[in-house]
Amino acid sequence: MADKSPQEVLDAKQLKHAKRGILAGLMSGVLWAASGTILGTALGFEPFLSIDLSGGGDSALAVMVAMAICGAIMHDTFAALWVGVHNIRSGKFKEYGRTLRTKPGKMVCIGAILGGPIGMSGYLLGITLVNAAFALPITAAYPAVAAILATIFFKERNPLRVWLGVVLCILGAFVVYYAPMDAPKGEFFTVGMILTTLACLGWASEGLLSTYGMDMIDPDIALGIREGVSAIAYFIFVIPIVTLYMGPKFGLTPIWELVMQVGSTSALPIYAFGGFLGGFSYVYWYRALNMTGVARAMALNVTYALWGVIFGAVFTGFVATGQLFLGAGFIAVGAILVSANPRELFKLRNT
Amino acid sequence: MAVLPLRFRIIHILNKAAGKPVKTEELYKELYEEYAGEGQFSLELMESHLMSIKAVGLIESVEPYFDSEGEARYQYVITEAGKARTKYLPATL
Repeated sequence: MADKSPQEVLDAKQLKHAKRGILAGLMSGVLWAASGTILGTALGFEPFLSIDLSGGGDSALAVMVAMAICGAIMHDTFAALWVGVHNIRSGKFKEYGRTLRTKPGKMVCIGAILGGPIGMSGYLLGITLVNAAFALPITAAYPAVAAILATIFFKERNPLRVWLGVVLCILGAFVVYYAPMDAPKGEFFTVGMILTTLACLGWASEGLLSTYGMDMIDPDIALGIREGVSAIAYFIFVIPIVTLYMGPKFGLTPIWELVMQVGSTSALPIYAFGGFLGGFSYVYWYRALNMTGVARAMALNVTYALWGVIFGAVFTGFVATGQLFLGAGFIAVGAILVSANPRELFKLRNT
Repeated sequence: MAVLPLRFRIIHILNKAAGKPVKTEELYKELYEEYAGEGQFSLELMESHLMSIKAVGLIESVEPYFDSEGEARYQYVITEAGKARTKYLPATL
């Protein structure tokens, strides 16, 4: 210690802090992919197992929407509980009330509604109603939208290398998930496209509002509020709206009924575990947004597409294709470009 | 007065200092009465909060020094961007 100046010691500390931010971004992607893999297996249990989708058509479509939204509700509810436990253990629980009374706290609440019920429901409904071939390119672009907005509103500074990394990560995610298919424009095409665009804007806005709020709020508390508000909003708004809109037309299995059934079946522990992984994915994502800035955090989060392929291959026997390897390659190079120089994270914005 | 979130108080204290550098231990001491006993409140965690607030440009670090324990620390001042965020602090402060 004696042979180093305080500045040198502090530079090393800051570098460690910045590297932890990059690691948090990567962890958010890894855990999100693990959460997705786990939640995907829940569909193999009751009550979903006995749902008959063999008839196809709009009714099956509507039931799939109900199942997907039910999954999102279970995820956010369990994630809110797990993050709450984490914050109690970290001695931060009192910060919830203090934060909710502030304006930045309320911004996080609005971000929660934009990213949760609006973003996630829009995405789930969009890919169901208009076909993934149309919906995916729109939703996959959300990190780019957020990065551009962060540059405009936050004066977030990113060198060209980081921008290239962001583009490669998004392109990689798109390549991994893109599946060309015969995509008829059905009755709900316009509504579906609007919902998909809403999802993209919702997620990008969530990132911005939460990041702005987290300048003054602990990221773990912001996330606890985010998941809690999102779960409550699903119960109050999404379930009634979707049921009222789609129910009479399709004889939709009420989402509420599905949620209740999940509560008494073997799928519940799977959702609890998936919510645990998803909750901590968000913990790391929010930390990364706060520690590495919007553009990097979103690019690192999008690496979930790469980890998803790996987990699928390891745990479900899924065979990766050349297309997947190509997408994974884009993501890996993009993530390296984004993370290459942690010293850039000492000061994220031109203020 | 209701207790504020920890980061709000850090910004509040640095704003009150009006450009005079504040040491990490001084911040810790000033906040001790309000947050002592909470698991989130320690000198090391305080430093992590400060680095995050600094990265987003609300405060700046100046004049590094070694404290009495031989730990390297910064002193901090509020920036113009930080001052702009004091609009979110309660008017009664």
